[in-house]
Amino acid sequence: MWFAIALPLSFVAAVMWGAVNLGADSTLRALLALERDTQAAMILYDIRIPRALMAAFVGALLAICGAVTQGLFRNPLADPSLIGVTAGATTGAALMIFFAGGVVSLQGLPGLSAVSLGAFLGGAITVMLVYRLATSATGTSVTTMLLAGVAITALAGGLSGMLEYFSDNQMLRRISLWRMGGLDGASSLTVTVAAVATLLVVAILPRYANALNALLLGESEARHLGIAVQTVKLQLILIVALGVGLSVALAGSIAFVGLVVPHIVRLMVGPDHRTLLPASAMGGAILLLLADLVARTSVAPVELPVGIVTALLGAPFFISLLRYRHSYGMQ
Amino acid sequence: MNLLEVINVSVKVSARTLVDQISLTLRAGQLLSIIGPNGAGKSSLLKCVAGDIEPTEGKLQLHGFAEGQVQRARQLAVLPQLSLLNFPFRVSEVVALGRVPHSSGAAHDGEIIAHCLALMDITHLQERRYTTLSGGEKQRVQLARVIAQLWVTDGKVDYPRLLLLDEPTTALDMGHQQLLLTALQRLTEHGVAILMVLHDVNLAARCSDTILAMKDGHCVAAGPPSQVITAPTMQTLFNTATQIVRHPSDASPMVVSVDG
Repeated sequence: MWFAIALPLSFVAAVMWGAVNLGADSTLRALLALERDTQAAMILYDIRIPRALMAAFVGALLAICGAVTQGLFRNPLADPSLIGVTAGATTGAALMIFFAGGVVSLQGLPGLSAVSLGAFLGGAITVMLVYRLATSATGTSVTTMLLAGVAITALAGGLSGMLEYFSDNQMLRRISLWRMGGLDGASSLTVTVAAVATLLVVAILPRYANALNALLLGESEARHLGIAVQTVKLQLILIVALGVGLSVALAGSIAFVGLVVPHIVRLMVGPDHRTLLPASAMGGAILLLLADLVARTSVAPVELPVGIVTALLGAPFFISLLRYRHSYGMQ
Repeated sequence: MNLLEVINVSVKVSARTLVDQISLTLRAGQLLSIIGPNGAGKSSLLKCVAGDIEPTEGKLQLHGFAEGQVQRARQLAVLPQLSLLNFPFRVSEVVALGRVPHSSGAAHDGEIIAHCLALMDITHLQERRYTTLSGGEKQRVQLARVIAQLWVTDGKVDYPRLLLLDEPTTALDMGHQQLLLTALQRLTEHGVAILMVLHDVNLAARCSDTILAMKDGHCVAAGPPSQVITAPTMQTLFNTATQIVRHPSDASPMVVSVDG
């Protein structure tokens, strides 16, 4: 319930403050379309709103995918960025830019689709690999899972390094431009793609809420509750790869949102996925809107990539979770 | 009519034989316990019946059970030996997971959940987080969950039901062991067939219609408790000298260890 009030408030805050503070009065008037041609309205509609929408969609996508990953791994520490999915998706995207760059132009919709496809494939392969490595009949090992994440992140770093080494100047520029990505590149095209993907994922995932709840008991327990475990797992892995892959393709890698948000939401509403999933989506939108606000205003007029802010917030949070992991029954 | 027939089933993993040529049958309303020393293959046999592992040899038939996974989950519930749930669900939410295969409506489910909570004496814990419970309390919650999965309010259904329990009493104190046996008895009176692995031979002797004694994967003895619970069988199973006495109230056999 909380989130339903906080979400519009953070959205208004995110479009109101920035390098230029618009003030509540003119923000609201421009938002309600009372004024169109003022400077405030231009800043709002051309820059702030696309960026805020992008932050909200990507945040929602990352948080709901994080919540699903944790359910799938039966482990509250499983976050796409920690288990290597983000790195896998980034490498997939970089490979796609490198090899497809000569074939399709990397501008506009074809470019975005190619990069997204690469990110999706990279992400999907990574989740499946880590899942195979880390889960067994007796549960999920945190150690194996995180180590697999470390290995894959290292491998991804190596591959990216190799790509950059062999790239010509133009290609290098393309890859690095894309990698800096962030939320500042929000255009009507990317916002539309983000909106469609997020609404789709947010609409589909709650159908899996019961299955995810049952999966928390264990795989064979879920099967005995009538869940088609293999099918559900595969579908969830593909949806997570799609969500994380797209967010990487649209906004670069943003870490920890998928860890911090579901965790806080679980403390507030409990672990039942029927409420956890929609609440995480809203919480993720709120967190990334606020994180981006900090990124834009803390050292204004210079803007930080939002990923730096989430990492600075998320890493200590993660370390404290690791410290108290025994109270979640994890080892 | 038999609802479960196990005919000469063997389970082999690489070169090891976990279950060796076991046969058993189970009718509606019957309770069969499997006893035997650690590593005798009791759990493997139970997993075989549950469908978690495939028998390498022999036949396993369930009569009157649906093919569809959801439908089957309304007829067959399984309690595994250890449970891994480490997310902070409320006790009532865990029990409610037993109603996942049913689409019987929140009001009806609520009634059944309340009933099963009372049956396992965990009504007072229903708002507690599962992760904060003791071992025995967790076991009672999981038991309530599998019972809720098969429970019907008026006790009468036209399809067979089978409950598989792997060592349901290990973490329970004496009072709650008795409570469980009473609950199981109510289930069998309503036609549920129960197949369970039990460590406690005396408990098995009191509540079972049939006992299957296993060692090293094969059947040592099978039949009604009075035929299986004998000093020679106990010697073979557990390699320890025992004496059989009669339970004062129902004259069921009781095993007492004696000095070699």
